[in-house]
Amino acid sequence: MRTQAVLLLLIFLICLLSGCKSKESREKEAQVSCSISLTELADKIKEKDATLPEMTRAESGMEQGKDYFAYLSSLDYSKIEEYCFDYAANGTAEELAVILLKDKGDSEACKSSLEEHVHSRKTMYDAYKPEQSATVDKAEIIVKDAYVILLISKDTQAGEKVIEEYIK
Amino acid sequence: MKKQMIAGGIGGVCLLALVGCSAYTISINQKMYSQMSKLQEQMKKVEAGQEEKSQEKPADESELTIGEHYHILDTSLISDAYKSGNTDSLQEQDKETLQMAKETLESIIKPEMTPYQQEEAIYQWMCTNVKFDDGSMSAIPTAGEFCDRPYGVLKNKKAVCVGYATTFRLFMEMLDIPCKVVHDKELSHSWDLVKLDEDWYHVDLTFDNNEDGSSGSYRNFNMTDVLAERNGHDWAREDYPAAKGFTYLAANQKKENIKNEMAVIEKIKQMIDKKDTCAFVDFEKEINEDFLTAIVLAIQERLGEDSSLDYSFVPISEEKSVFALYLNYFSDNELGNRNVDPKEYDKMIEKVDKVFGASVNFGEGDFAEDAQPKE
Repeated sequence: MRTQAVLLLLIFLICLLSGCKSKESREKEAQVSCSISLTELADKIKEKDATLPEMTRAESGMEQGKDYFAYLSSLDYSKIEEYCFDYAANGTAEELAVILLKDKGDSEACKSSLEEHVHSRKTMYDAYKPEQSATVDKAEIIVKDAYVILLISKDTQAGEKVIEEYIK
Repeated sequence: MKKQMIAGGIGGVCLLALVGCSAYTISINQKMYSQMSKLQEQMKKVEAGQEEKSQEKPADESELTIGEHYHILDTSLISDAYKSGNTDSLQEQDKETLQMAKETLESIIKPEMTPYQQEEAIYQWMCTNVKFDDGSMSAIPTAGEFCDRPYGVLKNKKAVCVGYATTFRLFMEMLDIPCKVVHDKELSHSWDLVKLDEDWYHVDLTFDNNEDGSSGSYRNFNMTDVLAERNGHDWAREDYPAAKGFTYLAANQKKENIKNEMAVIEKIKQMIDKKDTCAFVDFEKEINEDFLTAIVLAIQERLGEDSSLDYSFVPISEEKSVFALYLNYFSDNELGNRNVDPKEYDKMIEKVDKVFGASVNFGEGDFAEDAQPKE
C-alpha cells in the first residue's frame, strides 16, 4: 500500500514537472532568446521606425489581454506565453506584434493566424481606406524559434534590424 | 469571404465599448445575443442554399445587426413625429435626434427643391459633415458610441456604415421620400435604396465620403443594380426592389458634353484647380476608351502618391455610357510639407517633362496601337 502511494506521488511529480515548465526553462529550450522584454523590443522598433504613427498597446499583462489577442490571432490563447501588440491609434494600417509562444512547435500555426489577420486587414482597407492598403502589402511575419513577430509598416526593414539585434 | 473579413475587422469593434459600459451594455448584450442567434440561423440557411424569400423577413431591415455589433434601428417613430408635429411618443434621445435632424433640414432644404434635389442636398451635407469613424478601423476597434444610429451620427458627426444608412433613411423619411436600408449577404455592410419618381436607386455614403471633407465623390450616389454590383455591393436581390432607372444617376444628372478625348486633359486640370471630386463626361462623337485610359494614366503619374485619379464608364441608358472621373485624396502637390515654392515646383516639373519627356510611352507595345484618338 505504502509502495503504491509513493509510486503515485512519483508519477504525479513527474507529470507536474513535465507539464508545467517555467518560462525560463522554455526559453532555455528555445534555440534563440530575446535579450530584452517584449514590450522593450516593441519600443525599440518604434524608436527606429520613424514611419510609425502614435500607437495603442495591448499586452498579455492586461486584464483583457486574452480578449485583445483575439483581434490579432485566432491561435488558442493557452499557447501564448506572452505578447505585446501595438497598433495605430488613428485607424491607419500600422501594427507591431511580438508574440512568445509556450511551444515553438506552434510557431507555424501562429504565423498562419497572423497571415489571416493581415489578409483580413487588407480586405478591410481595400474597401474602406484604399490608401492604407499599400502599407498592409508591406507586412512581414518573422518567426524566430518560439518568437513570432508581425510588422505592418511603411518601413518594415527598420523593425527587422531591431529584431536581428535583440532576438538571437 | 471578403465581406466576412470586413465584418471581422470593422465589426469586431464594440467589444471594448461593450465591456466598458454598464447597465446599458447588459441590455445591448442580451439583445445582441438573440439577434446573433437569429442571424446565425439565417446564415446557415444561406450556406445550405435553403434560404427562401420569407414574409417574416422585412426588407426594411429594422433591428438587424451588421458587422456583428451595429444595429439597424427603426427610426420611423422619429420621422412620424416630425411629420405629425407630435413628439409625445418619443423618448428623450429620439427627441434630441429629431431636433438635430430638423435643424439640419431647415439649413439645407429649400421649399422649391424637387425630391432629387433634396436627396442630393442631404447626400452632400452628410458627405461633407459626417466622417467615417476611424476608430472602427483600428486593429482593436474603438468606434464611438452610437455611431450606428442617427443620434450618435448627428451629435458626434462620425459614423460607421449603419450610421450613414440609417441617418440618410431618417432624412429621406422626414422628407417623404421612400427609402430602405439594404445590407449585404454577409451582414457586414449596409447602404440605402431610395425611390425617386417610379425608380429605386442605391446610395452608399460610406464610400463616398472624401477624407478632406470637400464633398461626396458621387461614385456611389444613385446607382442602378448593375452599377451597385460593379462597385462591390452584394445583396440578396429578391429581398429588395430592383434599381433599374437611369434618370437620376449622378452620371446622367451631372454629365457635360466634351468635344473629344484630348479635351479631357483640360477637364481634369479644371477639376484639380477647383478641387472637384468628380466629373462625368459625355462625348459628342464616338471615342477611343483606350486613349482615355492612357490620358488618365499619364496625368495620374503627375499627381503623386497622395492623389488618386480614377475613372470608369457608367451606363446612363441601355446603349450609352458616360466617362466618369473621380479625384480622391488630393493634395496641392506631392511635396507634402517640404519647403518648396509651388510656383518653382511647377516650373521644375515643366522642365523635367521637357528634358525627360512624357513618362507614359505610347511608342511601343500593343497598347500604343489601340491608344489613338478617334479621327
